[in-house]
Amino acid sequence: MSGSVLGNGLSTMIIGLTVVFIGLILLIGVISLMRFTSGGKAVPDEKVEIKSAASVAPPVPPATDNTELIIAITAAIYAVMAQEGVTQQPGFVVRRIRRY
Amino acid sequence: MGKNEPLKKWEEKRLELLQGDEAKIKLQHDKGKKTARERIAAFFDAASFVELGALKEESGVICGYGLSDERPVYAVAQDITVKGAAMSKKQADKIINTLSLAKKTGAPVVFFTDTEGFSVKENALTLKAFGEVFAAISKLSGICPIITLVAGECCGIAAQFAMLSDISIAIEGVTVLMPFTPAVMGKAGDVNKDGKALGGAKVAAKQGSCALTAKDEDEAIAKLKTLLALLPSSVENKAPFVDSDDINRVLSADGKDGFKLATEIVDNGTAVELYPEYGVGMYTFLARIGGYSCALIASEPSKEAGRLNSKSCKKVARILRLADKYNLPVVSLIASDGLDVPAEENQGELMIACGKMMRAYALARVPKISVVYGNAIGASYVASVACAGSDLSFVWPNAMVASLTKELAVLAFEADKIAEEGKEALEEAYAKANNGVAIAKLGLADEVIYPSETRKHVIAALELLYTKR
Repeated sequence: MSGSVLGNGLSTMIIGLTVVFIGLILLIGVISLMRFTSGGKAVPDEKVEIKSAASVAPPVPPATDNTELIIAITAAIYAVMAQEGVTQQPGFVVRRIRRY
Repeated sequence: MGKNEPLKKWEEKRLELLQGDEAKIKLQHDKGKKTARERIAAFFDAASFVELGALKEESGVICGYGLSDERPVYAVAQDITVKGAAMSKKQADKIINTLSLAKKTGAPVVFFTDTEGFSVKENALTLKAFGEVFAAISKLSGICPIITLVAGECCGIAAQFAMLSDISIAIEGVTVLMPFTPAVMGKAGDVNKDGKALGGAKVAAKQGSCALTAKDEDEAIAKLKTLLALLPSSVENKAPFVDSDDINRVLSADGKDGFKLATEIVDNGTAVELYPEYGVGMYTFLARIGGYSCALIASEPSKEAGRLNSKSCKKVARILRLADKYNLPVVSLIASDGLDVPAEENQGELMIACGKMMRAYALARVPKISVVYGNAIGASYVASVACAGSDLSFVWPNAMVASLTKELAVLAFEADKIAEEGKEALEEAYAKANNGVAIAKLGLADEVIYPSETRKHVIAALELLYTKR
């Protein structure tokens, strides 16, 4: 009696584990297939885009020019803000340091 | 003799001393001057003055302590109605005792000088007295602030009261500050001038022998109180902190006017300018920024060709030494084309003065913050930022740091290209290659800041450097 109960338990466990592992293996297969199908096509596309952009775009300006452009744009924004009566600028805010 | 008899006698004597010599007091009033006791009454909080050594009669000086705006201050007021306030052993002893007490307790000393010179009776002995007093002043300076109000004649060796003080104030129509008496000076210059024309407040301001001038004695006392509020009681303390203005206030100054920029940076637009008529290419102020009392140094690019001369270098050196003595942070706003080209006979003086400024910048142990808001050419950058070893250095984006001005640099290095590319284009390229962003990349400034945010960055730096050791 006790032998048959043990046998039933073991067989149920083996069936359960087999089903779970088969499911997992199938999932791995599906995921690897998805990566293969989508990634395989995207890589050459990106390369083409970069090449085309490089051939059409003008040369990258030096870093100083970029900085000056940012300064000019920010100054213009501040000027507009000043005209509108906004005196508090965004960005740096001074706070008192707490001293113990 | 009753128990209270000595006290009664003392009360009578005190009353007599307080009343003084009527005729001499009238003479003083006729000259448009206050008496020493009136000066003390005007300066100290009501009924707070305690006179020391009042019974040492005929010393010609009133010494003591009291409260001024609720802070303890010592006063030495020469009383010209008593023996012409001439220096004597008695006077020297009283002054030295007062200075000694100020040193022990750590409180500022104010001098009201008004003297006819030295005691003829004591003659050579007064030289020792003068020497001992001046030694005591020299030793106290750097421990407790000393301010002198030149409230009358202060000629000959007595002029050193003002010179040895940390700050001195001259009064129009009252001050006569000269290295000799008017009679000697007038003769030497072969001109018929009186003392006020030869050594009055205007002369003192122009020649830098007094840091401040006032229209009358009341204004001088008001300025004296303002100065004391910006200084610590002694080197052991920090100057009073007064939080009275928005720390995030933005500026509108464009950097073309150094005075406007300086007065916009300070709290509520108020600052005490020291030596305003001497070395006018540089401004030196005592002011609060974000509540902290500071020494503010600012270039004026529109005056003296935007260059440093020997007077402006000496002026900067003076405020740096003052700041270093009394733990005041130094904020330098720089826009200078460097040293002025001197006349042949002045070149030595210029180099010595520049050296004094550099040494003062280098040796100041207090927080040092620099903002290059225009050109910082040659010596101006070397002294104010590099030699100073600025704890934090800021630069405006369109400022320029270089060894030569753009005009000189193009002529010196690119003369052959002028015909082809044009002088202006070359100058513009030079300025661009050395602008704020470029020099920050070289590590010559800690941060590029927007002009409008200068005050905020300076205050943040003062907050950070508060604990500098």
